[in-house]
Amino acid sequence: MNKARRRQLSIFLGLAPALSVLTVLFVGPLALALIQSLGYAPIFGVREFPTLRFYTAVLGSTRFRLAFWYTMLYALVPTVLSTIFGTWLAVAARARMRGVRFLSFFVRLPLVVPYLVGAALVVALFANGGLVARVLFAVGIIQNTGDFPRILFSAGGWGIMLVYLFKQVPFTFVVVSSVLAGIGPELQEAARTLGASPWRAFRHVVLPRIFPGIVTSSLLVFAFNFQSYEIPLLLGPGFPGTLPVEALRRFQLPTIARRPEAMAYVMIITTLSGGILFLYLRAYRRWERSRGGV
Amino acid sequence: MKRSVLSSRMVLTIAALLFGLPFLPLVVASFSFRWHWPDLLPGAWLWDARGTTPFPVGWDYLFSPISGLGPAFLNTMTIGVATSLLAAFIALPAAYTLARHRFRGKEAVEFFLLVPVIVPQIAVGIGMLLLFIRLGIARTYTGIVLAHLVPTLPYSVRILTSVFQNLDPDYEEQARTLGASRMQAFRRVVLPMVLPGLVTALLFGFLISANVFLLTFLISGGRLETLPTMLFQFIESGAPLDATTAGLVLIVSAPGLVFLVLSDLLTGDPVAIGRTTLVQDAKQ
Repeated sequence: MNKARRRQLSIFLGLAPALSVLTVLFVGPLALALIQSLGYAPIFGVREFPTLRFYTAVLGSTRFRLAFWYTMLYALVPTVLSTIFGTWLAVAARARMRGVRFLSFFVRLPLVVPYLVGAALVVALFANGGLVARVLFAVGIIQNTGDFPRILFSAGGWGIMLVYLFKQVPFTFVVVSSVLAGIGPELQEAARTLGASPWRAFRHVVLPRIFPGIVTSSLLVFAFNFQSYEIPLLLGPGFPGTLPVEALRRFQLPTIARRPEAMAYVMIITTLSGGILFLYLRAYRRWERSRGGV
Repeated sequence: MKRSVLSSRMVLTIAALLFGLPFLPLVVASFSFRWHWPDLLPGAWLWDARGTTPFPVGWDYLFSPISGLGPAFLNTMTIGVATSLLAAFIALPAAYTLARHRFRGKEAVEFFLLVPVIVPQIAVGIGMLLLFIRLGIARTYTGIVLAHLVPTLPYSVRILTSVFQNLDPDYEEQARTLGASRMQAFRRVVLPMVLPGLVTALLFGFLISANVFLLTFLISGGRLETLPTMLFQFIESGAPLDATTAGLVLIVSAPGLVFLVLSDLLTGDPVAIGRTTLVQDAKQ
């Protein structure tokens, strides 16, 4: 066997396990959901392939439209806020001072616990009988639990968004910190020495260099929020659920012949999420190119 | 300059309080027996109530066999260890290949290996459940471990690829020049040097698996309980500041806490750590 062939073989053998595992476990289920959504689902007694009936049923419903807008709201607000605050924290933590490691330990703590832990914390603090309401009662701002604003189980989704922020400010913090570590403090210090204000030094020297990291982290945060299931289920209003919650509700419908609607739901969720991420990345690339052209 | 350092410290301190402090009321709540509205501290503590209740409460309940915490904990550990080992085993050759070779379609391969992180888990999960029912592995350990591979594998590949990229290929070539076979060079030279990175990948894989909820929930069908699925039920049915839920939250947070401490101890350049161990080995 010649050298080039051997090299090709070793590349193939190296990649084969990971690629085949993901093909079976990741592509397989998606393909199955796709054909079922198009009407081939013998286990539900549905054999109408190909039909778009399940898609039109989902897309035509008010429930879907409401779920979509609430999903967008719950996904987008925490993405913007955690990007701003996470970046701010990362920049603050870069100052050379004692105790950064110790303090950042607590900021990174939410990152390593399940989202459900965040949900439990938000319930303990912000439920109507929770700790924050008790403190407000103690200082005389509210007289009973009913006076406390409904943060959980309301369509405003404050509880959901608080859990996301609890997990994602630290996430953005870690991603941006690692990018910052790569660029070193010298340029920023030079800008400051030359008379730039802290904000100008950040805006013109640091920000352009960490921007790709910010884009990546906000993209991952949005992608996660858009498909999150257990948090909106636990802390959201009963109706409307977010898209993933509605999808699983369709899957548990007593009329099993309607269950392919769940598959239509997940295909729509995947397409929407992918489409939004694609547009976001394209807008970023264009902006990057226009900036590079100057 | 001095003022900006001061305000930075303030920002970071406030953040540390915001993210760390919420755990404190749960520590208090976990030792409470009665914590009625509008008390700021529990009215009665666990140790006061011991023996006065027909069945154990709070921590006593969690650690009694009726809570099911033991099996859920063991399931989480077993599934986590199996998932992280399997993911690292599968990711290792792929990461090595991606770090060492340039080839046509490499970008597509890298993209494909990352996509599971972005694609909605509910979309994979529902299809996977149907597939696993057909294969007869739904509601089994095998099924859950395979399901957990999907979110874990991309990270394992990513971490291990960067570990191999940071590793100077010269060492391997020198071993080969000195007569080691490819396998020997990998096992005796490359592997010991990437060990810290490998440990990081294993820890990270374990952590992802231990934190997964939806895929476990779907594939286990309620038959196999893990810590996150158990916590889900407690939050769903418990009151705020309920002692048992609070205790469970602390237990569920423990693996992450251990991970954070371990990874802080391991930080530093993994390759540098690998080299120092090699030097120490040589000295012995």
